[in-house]
Amino acid sequence: MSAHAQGGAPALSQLLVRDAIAIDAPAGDWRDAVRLSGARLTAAGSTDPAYTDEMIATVEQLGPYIVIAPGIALAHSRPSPAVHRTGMSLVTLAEPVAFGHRENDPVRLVIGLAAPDDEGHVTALATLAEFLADDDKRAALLAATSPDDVLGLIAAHERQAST
Amino acid sequence: MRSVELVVRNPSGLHARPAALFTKTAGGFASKVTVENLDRGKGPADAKSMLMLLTVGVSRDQRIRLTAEGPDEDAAIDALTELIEGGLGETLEDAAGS
Repeated sequence: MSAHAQGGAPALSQLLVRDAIAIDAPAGDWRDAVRLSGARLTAAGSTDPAYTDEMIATVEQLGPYIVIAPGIALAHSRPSPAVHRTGMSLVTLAEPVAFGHRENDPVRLVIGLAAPDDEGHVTALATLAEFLADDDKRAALLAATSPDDVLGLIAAHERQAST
Repeated sequence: MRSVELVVRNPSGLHARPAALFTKTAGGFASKVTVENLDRGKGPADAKSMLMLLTVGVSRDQRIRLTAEGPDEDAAIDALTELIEGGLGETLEDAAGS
């Protein structure tokens, strides 16, 4: 099966590349955690560093709604000139940090999302959400010891989802 | 059980801040609330969880089926329908990508 998702939209494995993954990264607080996530987007060529500041500003202005499930934050901001192309990053934290979310703190996994528009990332994000909603797959992800581990888990999930 | 079919018109669809507003509102009802993406053939997913809502990937102009089952199902469907038809806090005239 092709890695391309339905309708020609990019698949998760195309948007989340090795350079965009960090494992057991140290973060002192939620801002550090979002900075790590933004730095991976920049390392992968998806964003300028300015986008990282925009992701932090989004939380400061709108609150911790980006904590989408227990232990999981989806750092993102509006489509912006600081975004070069659609990309995702994935950072597991050495120690969980609080974002100030009533039910879903503390956060151990930060997904970064950069999108130049409202559409191109939706299919890949849905694939990632399905992956994270599966308890066994999420546990395996949190136990990953290298970016290659993460890529392997995601590739296996995509193969399963496409059959 | 009550069900309604709707088209999501706001630019972000059921993502980001609009999704947060939607799940928060759904969470205020005792009824079980689900969203099915009729265009993608995904779901139904728990409307009270951001993560589950993202699994059905609702973009602008996609059709959804909203279902509520429980003691306040009518109120839940009415409130969530109004929220979606009102643009989920976004301006419906916004150009995509603005």
